[in-house]
Amino acid sequence: MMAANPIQDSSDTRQASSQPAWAELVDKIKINDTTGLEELYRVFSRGVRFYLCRQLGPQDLDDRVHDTFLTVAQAIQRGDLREPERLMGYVRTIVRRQVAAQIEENVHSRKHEIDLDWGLAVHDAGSNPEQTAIQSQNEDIARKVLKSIAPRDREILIRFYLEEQTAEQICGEMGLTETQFRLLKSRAKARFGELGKRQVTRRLVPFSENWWPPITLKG
Amino acid sequence: MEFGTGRHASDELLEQYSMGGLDERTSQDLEEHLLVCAGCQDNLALADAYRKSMCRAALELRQQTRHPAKGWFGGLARLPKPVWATAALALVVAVGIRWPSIHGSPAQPVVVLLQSNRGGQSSLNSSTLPARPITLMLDLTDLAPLPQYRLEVVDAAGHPVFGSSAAPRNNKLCATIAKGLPAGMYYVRVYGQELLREYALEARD
Repeated sequence: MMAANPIQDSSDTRQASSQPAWAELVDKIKINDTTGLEELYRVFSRGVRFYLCRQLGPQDLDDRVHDTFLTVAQAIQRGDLREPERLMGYVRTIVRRQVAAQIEENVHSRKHEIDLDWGLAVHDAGSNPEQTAIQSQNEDIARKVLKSIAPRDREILIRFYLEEQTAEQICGEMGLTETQFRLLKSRAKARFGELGKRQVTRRLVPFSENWWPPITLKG
Repeated sequence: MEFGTGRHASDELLEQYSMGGLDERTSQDLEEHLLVCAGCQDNLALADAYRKSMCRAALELRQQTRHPAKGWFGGLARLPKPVWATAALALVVAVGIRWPSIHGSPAQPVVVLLQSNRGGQSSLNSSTLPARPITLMLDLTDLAPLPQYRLEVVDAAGHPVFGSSAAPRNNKLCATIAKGLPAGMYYVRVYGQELLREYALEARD
């Protein structure tokens, strides 16, 4: 992959984060101060939900989020977190472990357990009708975008998104500069947003809570 | 890489993350940032949705380029696969239910397609009439491929009422119960070396 500009100034008016002083927060949790636990939940709940949902889907999401916070709080109270400044990294590690454990459990179940009620008790991992409709709509828009551009440009995007060729490889084989490649991608994305009238899709995100700030699709 | 307050990950970076193209260190930094940044979570969700849509649309266009379909049948071929699957299932069910009444042949077996279900409700895979030959067609999706499977039908009390062995074709296992089944609840079991799957089946008067 080409080097990308990793961070950008916030055109999004939302704060990137509202981070408390980690050491103070950890101290509060250690003494089981409820305001500390509330703060921990406020800061991380959305992010933890997002990560778990993205990795494992919406099934049992609330339970998993709850388990994660319980694990983090208990670990802090046991003194497992030696560097309070590393709280974010610690939470990430716990969440990743949760995901890995769940995946391992799924694999184990498939390999070693026979559920006589297999056909009756299996979880439904499918999208709900609204999500399915939105995904279908997005695919229609993507199809229109790909059909509306020159065959050579289409080939470039297909190589990138479908065949997952690296930018370097595509640029080398198709005789493009890095800038031309990025421009093509960003124009296609802008066209996608334009055709979708920016309705594309907050609703696709099943981890969402009740409140959603206004967002715009960037081109 | 540090993400300071008021800073967000670029679209380029989120796209690379969405495609699994970041190195471990950058992924780690970004994931920590994502834990506390609602704006970047939203942008990543959009990046995921966009990438998936482009990927699926690209796949479809690639397939059309390689296997162009023409004419009326070509139009049918371009229908999404779920439409075909639904149509095929409807045809199987319709044939199973209507064929005897059209031809007046009581010996014609009723075809019952047994599929794995989704959802936690106890549900019946299909219903059919008793005392008529029944052809069970079992969907073997997600089962380990074997040259042959053993099939067993037991009644509600667990007593075997039918047994057979058959080789799968097109990921389906077919077996005909010539005598049919009296009304009641049955369980259709598929075995390899061990029990692999069980379906519920109700025969109604």
